[in-house]
Amino acid sequence: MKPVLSVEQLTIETIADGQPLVQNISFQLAAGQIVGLVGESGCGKTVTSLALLRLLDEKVIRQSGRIWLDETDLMTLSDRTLRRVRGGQIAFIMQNPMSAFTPVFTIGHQLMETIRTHDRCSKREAKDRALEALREVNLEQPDRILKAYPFELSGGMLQRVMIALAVCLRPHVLIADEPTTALDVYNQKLVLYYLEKVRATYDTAILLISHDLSVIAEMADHVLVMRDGEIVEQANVFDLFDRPQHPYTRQLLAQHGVQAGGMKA
Amino acid sequence: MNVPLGRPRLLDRLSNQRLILIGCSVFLGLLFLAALAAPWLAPHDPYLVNLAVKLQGPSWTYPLGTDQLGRCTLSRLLYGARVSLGFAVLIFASSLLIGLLIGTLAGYIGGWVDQLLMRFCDGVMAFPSLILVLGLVGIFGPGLKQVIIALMLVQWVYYARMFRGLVMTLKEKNFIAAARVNGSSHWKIFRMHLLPNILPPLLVIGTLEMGWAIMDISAMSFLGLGVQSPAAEWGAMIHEGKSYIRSNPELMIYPGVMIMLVIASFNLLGESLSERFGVNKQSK
Repeated sequence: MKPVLSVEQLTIETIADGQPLVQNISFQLAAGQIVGLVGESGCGKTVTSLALLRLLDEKVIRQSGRIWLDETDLMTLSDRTLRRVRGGQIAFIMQNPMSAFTPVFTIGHQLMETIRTHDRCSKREAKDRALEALREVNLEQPDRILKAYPFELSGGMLQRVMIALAVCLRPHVLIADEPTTALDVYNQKLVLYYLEKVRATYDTAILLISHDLSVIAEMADHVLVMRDGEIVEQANVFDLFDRPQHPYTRQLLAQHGVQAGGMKA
Repeated sequence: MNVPLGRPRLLDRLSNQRLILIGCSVFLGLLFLAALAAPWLAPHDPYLVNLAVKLQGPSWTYPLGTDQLGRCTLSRLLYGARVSLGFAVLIFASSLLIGLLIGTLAGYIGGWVDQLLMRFCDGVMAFPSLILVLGLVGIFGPGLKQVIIALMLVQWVYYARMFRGLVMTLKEKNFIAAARVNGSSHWKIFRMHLLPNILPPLLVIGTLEMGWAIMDISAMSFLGLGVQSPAAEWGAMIHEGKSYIRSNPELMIYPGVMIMLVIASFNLLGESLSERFGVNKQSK
């Protein structure tokens, strides 16, 4: 299958002392595929995800390599063109939903703002699309949520709002950076359920970043294992959990109490 | 046991802060109205010289008496309020705008732009502001326009400093990152995410700085550098009255009291606003 997003030899380093943060990583995302990215804190997962949208501060950090989105190389685009891609073709779900919304505007205001940033449409139309997006993640009383301020909603609700926001522009690629980390178990389940639904409904390619192996095992089709800025192993999810090749992968699995061959298919 | 029931008295119900907030707002509001309505409120023409009635005490025709040229003191105070308040607002607004623009740019862009702008601000701040204004007026020559320009040139650095700090802390917030991830332009981020979030501190600092602007204008006029006589302005009135300090001290006292009351009100208002918003104000 032809990949939607293809990363070739992505290297990220600091300009000041040339310290590498991510080295020479390559991977591909196909439509409707969920790729998991695992690794310990600080191994470069979030830096990688930000680099895909070229959101790292280019005065401090240098990145090289190629990031193909369909036929275009994101590394060659201007900031203006990149803005069309961000949120439009590649959407992002952030780690901490409680702080991802501006405190001074209502949820509805912020949803409509984002919709109208990318698609020229009337306020009414934007509002209808926002309502529909909220319904899609089964939030009750969407018209009331539109009028609510971020602090009036719980973390779980905000994370669902964020999924709604990410999905309502029908992106080809969705990057979810630790989408469940800040949530309780029940809300984790819900968030994963809606991510799965998005994939199934819109054939979106999802890059799921997590340090939680159980989340990866449940969701991902393909897994990348990252350590100290390098991808040490990438494999089909069943192969990875049943026959881990790299010693680091084995160690990770062992820490999570998974014995090699222990995953039920 | 006898538990006192009923509503607490008015003074208890209004906390001190709120009393100050309301009191100062009402006073300043009335003063602004009076300044606007000066042509209708003033009993006499503030510039009408009538030596026959010079240096009179309070009377029904001249409620606050007359000055050394027989001009009505009350009318001059009212017209003076227009000049003092009007130009204070002008200086405040223009230096705020410049400071907002430059401070936000420095904080948002960072790097060498930030370094360059902030080192310049450091340079300006190294001088006591009044001395610097005096120096600039010395270069431009005395006159109201020159004083206003000099004050603007000096005042904006304090705002720039403050806004830079605010923007730098806000910039690291998650919702700014979220806005960028969603493809918002820099201008949109500034308008939607930065500006609304720096409004409370802006209001507090603005109120405090208004008092300073009035002080500066009056001080310059008192030194004979700003508003030139015969124009009615509080600082200029004190300047003119100082020759009669032994025989008619009220010529200095009236405008002096007005300046004091206005500056005190702005300061108290700023204090209580900062209390309400929980803003850390940065004094100059």
